Amino acid sequence: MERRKKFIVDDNEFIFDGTAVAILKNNQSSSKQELKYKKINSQRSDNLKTLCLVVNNDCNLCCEYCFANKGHYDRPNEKMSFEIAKNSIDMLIRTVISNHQDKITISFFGGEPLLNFSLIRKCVEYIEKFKNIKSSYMITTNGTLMTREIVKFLEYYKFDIMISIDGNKKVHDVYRKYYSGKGSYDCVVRGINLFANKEVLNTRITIGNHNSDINQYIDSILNLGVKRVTFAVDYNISTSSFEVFIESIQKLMNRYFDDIMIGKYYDITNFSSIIVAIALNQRKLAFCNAGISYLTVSAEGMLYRCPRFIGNKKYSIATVSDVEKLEEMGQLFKESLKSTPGERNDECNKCVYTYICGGMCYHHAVMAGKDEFQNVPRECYQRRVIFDGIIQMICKLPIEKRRELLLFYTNLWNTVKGE
Amino acid sequence: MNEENKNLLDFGLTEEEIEQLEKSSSDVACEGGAEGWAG
Repeated sequence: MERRKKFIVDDNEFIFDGTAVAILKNNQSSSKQELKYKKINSQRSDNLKTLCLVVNNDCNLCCEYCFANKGHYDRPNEKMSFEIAKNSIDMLIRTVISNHQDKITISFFGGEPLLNFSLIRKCVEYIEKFKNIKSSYMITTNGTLMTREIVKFLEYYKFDIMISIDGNKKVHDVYRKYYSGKGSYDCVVRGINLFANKEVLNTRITIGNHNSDINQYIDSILNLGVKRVTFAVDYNISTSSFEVFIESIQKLMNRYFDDIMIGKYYDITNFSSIIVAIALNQRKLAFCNAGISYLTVSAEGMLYRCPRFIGNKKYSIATVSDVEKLEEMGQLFKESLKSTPGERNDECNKCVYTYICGGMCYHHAVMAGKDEFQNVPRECYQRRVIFDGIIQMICKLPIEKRRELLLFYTNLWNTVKGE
Repeated sequence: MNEENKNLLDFGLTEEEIEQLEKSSSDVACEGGAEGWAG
C-alpha cells in the first residue's frame, strides 16, 4: 500500500514517504514518482547483545506511578547474587561470540540499582577481564544515592546514565518521595551536580496529572546543565491531563524549533529518534528491541523481555542457566514478531508512520488488557501528533540548521560513549 | 544520492558525517531502546 502524507509548510509542499522513512520536496516532480533508495536501513538487530540486570528489588523511594510495585516487583527486597549476574554475563558473552560479534551492553536496573552498587562494581570488574569483548554500560537510577566514589566509577567506565526527574522541585516532590513523605528533588540535584560533565546525563520525566504541561518544566531540567531529556506518559494519566499534555507537546515542538533557530541545542530523545530515523532513512520494525537484541534478568535469575514484565510468568522466557530453552523461546518470540509492525496489526498496516513508529509497547498493550501486538489508542494518537509535528519542524528548518542539529546529536552521543 | 532521489529533503551532511551519525546513534538508549514513550 502507498504510505505517503502531504505537508504544506510555509507554502511549500512536502511528502512524507512512510515506506522509505523519508521526506520528499514536492516542487520538482510528481508526488507519484517512486523513490528508489540505495538502501533501506532497519533499526532492528536480531542478535542478543544487551542484558538488563535487575540487581535488586528494593528502592529508597516510593513513587506512586512505579510500574515495579515500588521497586519490589513480585519478590520484595530480593537482591541479585553475583552467581546469577556472572551466569547472565557469561551467557551473553557466549551468545555474542557465537554470533561472531564482540560488543555487549549491560544495563543496570532496579528497584534502585545503586542500593546494590557493590554488585554493579563486581560485574563491571568481571566483564573488563574479557579482553576480546567491547563492553558498554547503562544505568537507570533515581539519582539520590550518588556519592563522589560512585560518580567517579560511573564516569571512569563511561556509563550511559538515565536519572528520573519529573520537572521542577514542586512537581517532582509530589511524585518522587521517600517513605517518610519527603520529596527527593534536592537529593537528585545534589547527585547531578557531582558529575563533571552534566551534559551527557539523560533525564527521564514521567508525565502524570501534576506535570502534564511538559513544556512548562523543560527549562527547569535544562537549567540543571543536562542536555538530554526523555519523556514518557504514565499509563494512568487522566483524560483531561492527557489533553493538556497533547497541547503542551505541540508548544514544546514549536519551542524546540525556535531554540534550534537561535543555536540553542539539546536532545529531547523522543524527537531526536524521529529526526535521525528520517535523516538516515531507518525503518523501525519493532517498538523496541526487547526480546530480540535485549533481554532482562530479574533479581532471582529469570529471563524476561524487559523489566516491565517481571513477575508475569506468561512473559518469562527461561532461567539464565537454561540456555537451550532460552534459544527456543527467543526464536518463538522473534517469529511471532514477523517482519513488520503492519503484519502484526492491521491498524499499523494502514498507518503512514508504521516504519517510524514500530508498533505499540507490548507492555502497555498488555496492561490495557489487550493482545501484546494490539494498539492502545491514546498512545497511538500521542505518537502521531509528535510524528506530524516533528516532520513539519524538519521541513521548516533551513538546511544549515538541520545539519547543525544532526552534528550536535553526533557530538553529544559520541561524548556519552566517551569517544 | 541517487539521481532518483534529487528531490529528497537534504540534511546537508557529507557521507562521512552520515556514517558518524549512524554510528553515534546506535545503542544510546535505555529500557530496551524504547527511548521513553512507555510510562
